[in-house]
Amino acid sequence: MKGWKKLGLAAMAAIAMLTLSSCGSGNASSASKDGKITIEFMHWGGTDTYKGVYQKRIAAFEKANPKIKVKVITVGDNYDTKLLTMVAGNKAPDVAQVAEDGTGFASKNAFISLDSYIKDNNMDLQKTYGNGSDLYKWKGHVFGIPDRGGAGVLYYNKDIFDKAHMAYPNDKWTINDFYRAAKKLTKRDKKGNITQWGTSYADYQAAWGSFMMTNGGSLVKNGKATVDSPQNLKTFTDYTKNFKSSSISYQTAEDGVNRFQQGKVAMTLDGMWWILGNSQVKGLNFDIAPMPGKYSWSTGSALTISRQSDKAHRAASWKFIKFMTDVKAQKILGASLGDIPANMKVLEDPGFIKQKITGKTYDLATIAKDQKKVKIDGIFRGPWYSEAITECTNEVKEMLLGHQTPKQSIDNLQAKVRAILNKY
Amino acid sequence: MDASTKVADKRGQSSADKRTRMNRRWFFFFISPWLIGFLALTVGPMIFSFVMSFTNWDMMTQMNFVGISNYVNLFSDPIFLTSMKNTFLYAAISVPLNLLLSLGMAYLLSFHLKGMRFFRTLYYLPAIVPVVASTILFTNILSSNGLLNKMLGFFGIHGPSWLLDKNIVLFSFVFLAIWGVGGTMILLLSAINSINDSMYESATLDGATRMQMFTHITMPQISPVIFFNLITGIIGSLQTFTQVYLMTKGGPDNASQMIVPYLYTNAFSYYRMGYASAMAWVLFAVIMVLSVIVLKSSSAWVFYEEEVK
Repeated sequence: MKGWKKLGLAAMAAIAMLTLSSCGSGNASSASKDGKITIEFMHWGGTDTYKGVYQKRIAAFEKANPKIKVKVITVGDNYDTKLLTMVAGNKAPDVAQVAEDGTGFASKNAFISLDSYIKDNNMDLQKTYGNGSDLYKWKGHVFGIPDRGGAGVLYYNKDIFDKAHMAYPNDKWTINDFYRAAKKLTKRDKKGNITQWGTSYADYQAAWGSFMMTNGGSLVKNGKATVDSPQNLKTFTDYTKNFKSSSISYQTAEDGVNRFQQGKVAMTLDGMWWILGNSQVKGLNFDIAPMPGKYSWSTGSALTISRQSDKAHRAASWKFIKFMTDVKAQKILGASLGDIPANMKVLEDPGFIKQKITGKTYDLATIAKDQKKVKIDGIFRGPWYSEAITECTNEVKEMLLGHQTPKQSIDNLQAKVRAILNKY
Repeated sequence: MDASTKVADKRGQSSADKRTRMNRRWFFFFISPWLIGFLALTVGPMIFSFVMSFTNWDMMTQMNFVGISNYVNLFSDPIFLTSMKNTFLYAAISVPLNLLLSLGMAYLLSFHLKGMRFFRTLYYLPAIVPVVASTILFTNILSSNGLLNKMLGFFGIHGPSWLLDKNIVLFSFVFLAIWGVGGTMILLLSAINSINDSMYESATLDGATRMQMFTHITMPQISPVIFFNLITGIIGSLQTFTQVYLMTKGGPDNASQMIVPYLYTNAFSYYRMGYASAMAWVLFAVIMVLSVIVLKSSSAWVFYEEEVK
């Protein structure tokens, strides 16, 4: 019996040690003997993202703040899961990048309110970062400062437009202008097979979400599902009609080939992160224009401070965020165009607008115009975002595949979103 | 018995006791890595997850006890019910099909013919391909303009969109399961090969046909291996994750959603660890019940030689 007792005790001790070691407050960032403080910063994307978007800015920050060192955690995939498990394990990074689902974390008290820092620094988020800044608020408190900007944008192939003797898209374009041009630029062979697509879009919310808001519709308003409106029915009906006549089908797109880069698509609606990649494609003569219509869907991201950071780390983290989102660092980000700066001053700066990307110039003034068009739907304003948007894309996809009518999609989605909101 | 014998006996007994104690210590010393791992990494998390299933824990804030509401809510969650249906349907089709095909292949590959080793290797090869690689491969094969539809097109058949059609997407996973049939086949093949030839010889002398030999000798002899594959097949198919996660993400519109990927999504994307834990325990109960049913039924069809008296 004694042997069993000893064994039991030894096993319990081992388990306890394992548990304690995993639950310990293990935030690796700390102050060293020479008074230097190390903060952890986590972002998504691979090493290329780090090199293109952060490396130079962080080096500039460390140079300007020799007492603060930034330890970078680059997460290639499943970023939210990684952040969630780090928060659960009391090992959250001091500064974390967040986007649309930042509200989910903020609603669980994962980040601190930045209100006092904003007030102390006399910052006007609306003026500095546009409407996109509205995305990073929970119950009236700001939890994130926009860093990487962006909104849905229209990419167009200039050669295709020239060949058809059609005027390029511009900031006055309505959704109908876009649909009309897409139809005109879709070409078929004698057998009826499409050889040139007018457009390429699918269930990504940056496209249909922008059109929906322009038509006066919304998904969620004041915490209530508002999908089944006449405006949304019109948006979905037109969107499906144009998809069938002018866009690349799901069946064709399954091979993952980028047909816009192949020069076979006249226009595509997507995030701004394609500018650099597209510019590197030989023979692709393209430019960008604002998303057709009045509003655009946000595709940017922000920087937050973890609640698990102690006082000293919070101060250093704020310095880091302030530096990264301010003009100097944002100019560095804009110069590499690894991503789009969120700071409007930089976006409207001639140095940014007139720069050459891979040896060519583009209408980069579009970016600031588009950023100003950003509108934040109620779907972003609660912890329900991930779950609700998954069902939205499910329903839009079924509609575009022709498995259900726009009306059925609207009705299904209204019921689904309502049920999801009720869970929170 | 004199006193000196008694002392010697006692000494002998105590040294035997010492040896037993020593052996016991060594026994526990050597199994301790497993024991600690089992307690800390399996039993511990299981107890924790059971407790969590009665809470609303989101991994970030304090957990609150919510009684059995997670379990009640599960049965009014349409996606969970769809996931259950999909998972059972997938298991009900893929497990028997996998067993039947592997049995047939193992039987054919057990013949002692020239070049048989080459065929055995050929049929076993897909089983050693990692599931991630085979899933990505099948995503391409099953795409609308993929290899399968191109082959069907060769015969004038217009293939469907395997991964985009709600009604057939589940069969894509059955294809994938069948492709990895080699794993089961190799176990059955080794079981068939280990059957004593004298049984077949005496059956031949008695005038038994090939079919009779298969049903009365081969099948009973390999029934423990079939039983093992049935149990592991049921458990494995009910726990399908990687294939769904990589190939369809549960789509289109949850038509290929299964319990474990949905559980994962709830835990790590929707911040519902308590709810996901309840889901895990329902799955555990289902697997337990099915395993017990198969286990109980085994006495009727599984033949163990040592039980014959």
